[in-house]
Amino acid sequence: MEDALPERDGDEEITQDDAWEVISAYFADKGLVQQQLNSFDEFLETTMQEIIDEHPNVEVRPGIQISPSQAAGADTRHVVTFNQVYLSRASVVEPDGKNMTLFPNEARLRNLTYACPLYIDVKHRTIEVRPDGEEDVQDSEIPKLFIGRVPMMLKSKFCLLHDANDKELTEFGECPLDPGGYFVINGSEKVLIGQEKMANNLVYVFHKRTPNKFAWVSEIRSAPEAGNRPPSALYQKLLRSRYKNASAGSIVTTVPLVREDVPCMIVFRALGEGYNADRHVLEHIVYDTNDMQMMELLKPSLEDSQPVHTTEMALDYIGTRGAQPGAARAQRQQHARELLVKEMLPHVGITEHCETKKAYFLGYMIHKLLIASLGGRKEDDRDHFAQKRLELSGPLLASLFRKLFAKLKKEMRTSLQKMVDAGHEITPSKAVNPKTLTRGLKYALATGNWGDQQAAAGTNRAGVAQVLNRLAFASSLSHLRRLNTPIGREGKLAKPRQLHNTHWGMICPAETPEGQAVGLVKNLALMAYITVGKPASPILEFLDEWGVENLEEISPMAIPNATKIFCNGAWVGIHRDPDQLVSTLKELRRSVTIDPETSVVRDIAERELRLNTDPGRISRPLFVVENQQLVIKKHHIKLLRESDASGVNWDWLVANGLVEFIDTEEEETAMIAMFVSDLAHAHGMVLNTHAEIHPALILGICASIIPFPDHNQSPRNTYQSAMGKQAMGVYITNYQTRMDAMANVLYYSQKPLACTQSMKFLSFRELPTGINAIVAIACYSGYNQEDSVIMNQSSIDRGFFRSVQYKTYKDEVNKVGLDLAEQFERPQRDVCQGMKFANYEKIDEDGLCCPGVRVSGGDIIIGKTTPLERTEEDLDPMQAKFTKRDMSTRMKMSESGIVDQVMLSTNESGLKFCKVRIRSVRIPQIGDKFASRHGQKGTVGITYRQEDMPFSSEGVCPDIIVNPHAIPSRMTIGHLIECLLSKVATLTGQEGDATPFSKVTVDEISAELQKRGYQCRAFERMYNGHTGRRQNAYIFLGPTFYQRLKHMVDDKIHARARGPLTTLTRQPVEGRAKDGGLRFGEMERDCMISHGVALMLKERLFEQSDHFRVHVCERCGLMSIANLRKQNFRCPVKACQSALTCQVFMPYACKLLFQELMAMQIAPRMVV
Amino acid sequence: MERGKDERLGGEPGVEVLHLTEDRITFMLNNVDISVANSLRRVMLAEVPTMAIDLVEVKENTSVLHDEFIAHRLGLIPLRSEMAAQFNYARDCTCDDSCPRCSVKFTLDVKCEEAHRRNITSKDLVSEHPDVVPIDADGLGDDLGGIVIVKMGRGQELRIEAIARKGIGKEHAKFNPVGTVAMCADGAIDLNHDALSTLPLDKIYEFVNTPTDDPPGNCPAKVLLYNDISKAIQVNEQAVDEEKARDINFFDKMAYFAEWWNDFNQLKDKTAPELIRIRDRPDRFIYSVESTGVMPPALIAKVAIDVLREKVNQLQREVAKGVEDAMDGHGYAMAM
Repeated sequence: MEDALPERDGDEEITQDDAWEVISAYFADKGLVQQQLNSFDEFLETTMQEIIDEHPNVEVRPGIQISPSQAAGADTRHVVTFNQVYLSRASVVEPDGKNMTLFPNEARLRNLTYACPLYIDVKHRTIEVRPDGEEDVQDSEIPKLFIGRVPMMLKSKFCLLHDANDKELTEFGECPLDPGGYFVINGSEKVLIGQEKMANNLVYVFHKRTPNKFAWVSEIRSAPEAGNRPPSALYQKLLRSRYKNASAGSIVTTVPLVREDVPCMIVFRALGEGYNADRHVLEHIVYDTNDMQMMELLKPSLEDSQPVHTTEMALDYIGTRGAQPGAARAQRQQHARELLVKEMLPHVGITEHCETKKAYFLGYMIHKLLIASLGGRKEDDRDHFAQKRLELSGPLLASLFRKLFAKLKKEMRTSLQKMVDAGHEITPSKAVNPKTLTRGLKYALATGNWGDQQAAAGTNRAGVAQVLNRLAFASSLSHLRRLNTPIGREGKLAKPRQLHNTHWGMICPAETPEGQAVGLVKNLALMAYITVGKPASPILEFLDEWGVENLEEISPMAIPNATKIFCNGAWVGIHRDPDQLVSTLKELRRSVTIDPETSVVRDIAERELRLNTDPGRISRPLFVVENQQLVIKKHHIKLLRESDASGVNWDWLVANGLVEFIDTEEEETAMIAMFVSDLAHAHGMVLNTHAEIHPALILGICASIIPFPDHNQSPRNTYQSAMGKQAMGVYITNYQTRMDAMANVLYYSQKPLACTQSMKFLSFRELPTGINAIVAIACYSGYNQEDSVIMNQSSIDRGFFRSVQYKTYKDEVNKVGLDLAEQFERPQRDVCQGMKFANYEKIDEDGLCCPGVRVSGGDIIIGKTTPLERTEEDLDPMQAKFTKRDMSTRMKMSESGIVDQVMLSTNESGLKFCKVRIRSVRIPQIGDKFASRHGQKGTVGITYRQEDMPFSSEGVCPDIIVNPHAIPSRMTIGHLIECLLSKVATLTGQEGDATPFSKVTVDEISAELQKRGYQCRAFERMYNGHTGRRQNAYIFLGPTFYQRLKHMVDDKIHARARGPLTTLTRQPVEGRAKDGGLRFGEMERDCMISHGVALMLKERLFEQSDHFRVHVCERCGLMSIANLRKQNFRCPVKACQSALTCQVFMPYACKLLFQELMAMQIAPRMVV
Repeated sequence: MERGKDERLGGEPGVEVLHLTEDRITFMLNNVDISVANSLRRVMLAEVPTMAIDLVEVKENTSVLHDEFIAHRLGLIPLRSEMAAQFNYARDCTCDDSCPRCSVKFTLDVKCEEAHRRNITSKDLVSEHPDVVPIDADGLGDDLGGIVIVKMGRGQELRIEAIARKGIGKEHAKFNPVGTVAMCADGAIDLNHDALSTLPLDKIYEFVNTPTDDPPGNCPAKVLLYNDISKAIQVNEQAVDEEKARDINFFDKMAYFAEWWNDFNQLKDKTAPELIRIRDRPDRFIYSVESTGVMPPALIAKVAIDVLREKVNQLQREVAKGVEDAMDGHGYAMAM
């Protein structure tokens, strides 16, 4: 529908393609790991100081003791205050005491921790109370006291790499494409995985199933904005009316720190004199006293609380059920009063005089509960994403830092106390142990166990920090945007794992692991933005200004006709003209007068206006729509294209109200058009408030690489999202300067012919993970059945999917005793004990090998000896010549390669430290694994040379032949369209656009192909390579982007005739690395039994395993002693001593069992 | 279709060169069976001996690519191989390791002194043999000329000694002298005049060209003509001959066109007759051979036929020897 009005130049509507300019601007500004960086920056810049400020001062006074130094009557106090914190540049203290600037790559190579020293201004005040009562105050300052090292997130504001340009990054040994957002701890890269949790300060109403004695429960986990303490929960529970109890149908409240449920009315009464009358309480709950239904429901509750009718009684009632029930009445009441102020609903207020607000809030909770029980509203949805918050690096580190800082202070206090008690001078700088903080942070990040090292196993969350995946560039990116839901993996509940409607645009619908963690581990969609959290005070001030009526000033009667205003879950007041207020708020947000990440939720049905500024909400940008037209116009796009000249960037778009961030909660109140074009076709049926920027952005990193994912069966996209992470390519451009434990690099990676628009932001064109292979979908010779593929050997000769694998071995010198240390050298047989059965020829005198040397299984690659400390007495003449013991590193038996690089350095404690990188070239062979980008994986079944491959009359022969049976049941139509589009792309010399949800059709692509003289559906007449005959069927042939996966036969091939045994049972060991046996399991055993091949079974399970011979006493049936050389047999049993012995064969494990039973005083007698 | 001649019996085998350029030959092989035709194709791909770098000794390599990578790239550089016949295979040679009769030494010794970076190409390779040299790649790919081996930054160095040997494509694809060998059966275009005569004129115009070609028909290369006078569609045989020499894909295109046209005719009535059929001629094969540049394309075909003949000769000798052995062993000849 065209607008009839004449349009100004540049005032036209934008097209869907123009949206990509906006998206580019977003990524140019934010990058892909903005959530990690923003969150960490917030921690360093604000939260850390806040935590320090909120901690009380350390105060020490001399203990009661008789000490000569203690002047009679003099009372001295020491107060230590922590003030401003400072962070210095990342550095490392070398063992010689030098403080050196540390760059991340050096930290990676030398297994150091990339961390910044933290300093703090400390004030020490000595207060001496003279006998006359006067205070003598003495202040001393310790500026910038070192208190520990904080690991630094790469590319965050305080990182050395922040704002470095590409050239500088290269000089620092970094890859310019690396997004940062992770830490380097002991040389390994650690990512903090976002933790999903239920949001605080929201009232939920849940229905309970029958065995529960409550029918409905409304609950809240309340946590104040500033106070960083665990949330305190409060429940309002409606007893089931059938429940055989006097108080059936009444409502009880679970108050924090009170052991028993309290009838809800009593809580009200405890709040003050104003709530002693039933009428006043009821007003706060039902608002409209004419609502007879609700009043009726409250009757049992009123009756329930009948005996307690004054504030004093109510407080006493709560006090007796509190922490100190045995205290005196007055104390109990005081305790209850404090509890209500401090512990109950802290988010409403933790100061005195919040009673009115708390009463209203309690009433609101009960109101919600009653409405639900009357059927007026449904139970809340636990899995709704608006109820979720994400804990990212900032909040995670904040909680850890808080604990550690408290520990540091506690240690400091004990240390100061000791100084005071000993009468020494007080020196706070000596009392601070920086290792507490340094080690605590390092431990959590290194192990992923979030919390204290001393904490009991299982109490800490495990897997919060993970080693950054460096298999492919996309897998690293994806790992940095991963989320975890910390509920038990074994939970059978399906709901939390399912894709929820509210995940749209926030969570990738395809990318999730298969198996036990399915749906619990999630990945952020491309444009998802996690809020950092901003103070609520500006909003509150603004609300005051704009006519929000405070709860203290209103009559409850006014509530039903007004809109309730909530800010971060706290009820702040009511407003009588919400339309006006909402539009003003939105206007202000669109002009960034208030923060753009604030969410404004107008819930018309509930008559509520909820404003949120808290951290961890998930939001995403959308185009703003006014009057069914986008606010953003063509001329804005033009300015954006010339951003260098015009200075127009993402922030500008936000500040001008062209786009805005909408969080999951606000999304529910928005009307969003899917496509820009949908706005014009609405015909007044709907009034859109927003429009999607592009629906392709609902996908995450890995799913954005799939061409035409909208044409695939959904699980295939999930499979590909998992497989793309195993694909080889160039995983980072500085791979030559890194020493990764294992890395695969593809020789000739190509950018795909069929690209999605989103790839531009993932650097997939720069660091692709595959090759555009010519793929035929055909049956040919039968060597591509059951997901195997036929591969062209001539292509392989020419370098097709050739790759190199790097493996790094590491060793370091350790201290032995006080002054001895191990040594890198070539061990000598005459002085070295315990030398391995291995080849020591490849290493030089210094114990290291030269780059370029070919090494294989059993070769020593790092020679190291440890000095033997021996005492005089154990001098065995045979052992005397040995002064050292061999500690060399031997290469794994199944591996071989060429030494690529050798690094010799020193570690943190100044001892020698070396890494040796081995490379081995991997040429595709039968059994190697390959996959397209559609969850279609297969192994090579056979390789044929070019002349044996089928060929078209142009002479083109495929690189890969996949079996047509791979297609119908899997329905990966995207695979076919990709091939078709890529074929056109090769002919036109342009990249094909395979972005999902675009308007490209198969017919359009086919027409293009036909125009160039090819069969329109990419079929070809092909000839058999062996016979030269033409094949009857047309064959679907064209280029398809294939990936080589890291699973290769050479790393898996394994066979053994005989080999090592386990010492305990003498059965063969397990696993390829240990040259183990292949398990003949239960199912194989069953098979042999059903075949009736008993001897075969015996041979497998007994003779080839732990065959053993024992001698059994014929009289007592226990194992006897046999000396075969002397032909002397004797039963060791005292009472027996028989010489009658019999020889029996049994598994060693059986003999072991018998002996163990005998150790337990059980005699297993064998009747022979 | 020529009448009175049985295509299956044919006459003497013959070759007709349709088109020849520096790097490509298109020829027709007449009066042979498909097995012979395919053998020729297979031999051209896999058994024409050429020279290629086979053994690389890396003395110094400070470039970004590792030794194996460079060795592989060196192996794939096409070397002029017209002289390949004069070399021995290394495995057959009398020498221990290598000698001028079986191998050609190459050296590469470059250090990048330039301020920025430098491409190391096949031009930097120095050969000991005047005729076994990397092919002249001017005008191919990189405008500097030569095949890029590695790009170097300042101060990087590459010193290599390499040995080129004779080999065939079966051993490794680097010995393959051709890029592609396209082969297809010569085709014939059969028109169903009865069915065509029932077509309305506008439909004919849609598919077939008129002498004035207005509007243009969709037929590839305008090989079908509609004669307004005789009111019949004719095959322009001269155009067919020209086109098949120019475009090896021509009969495919005709086949797709035929399919499309027949589908259109059978759209409403599945039993309607085919309008046009593209038929393979079982004794005539068109080849299009593209050389990698190691030897002229005509030579590849000639050597391939030599190899094929040598194979037959070898077979003949083997058979003769087998018969002889059989007679020696038993004193009588087996009845043939």
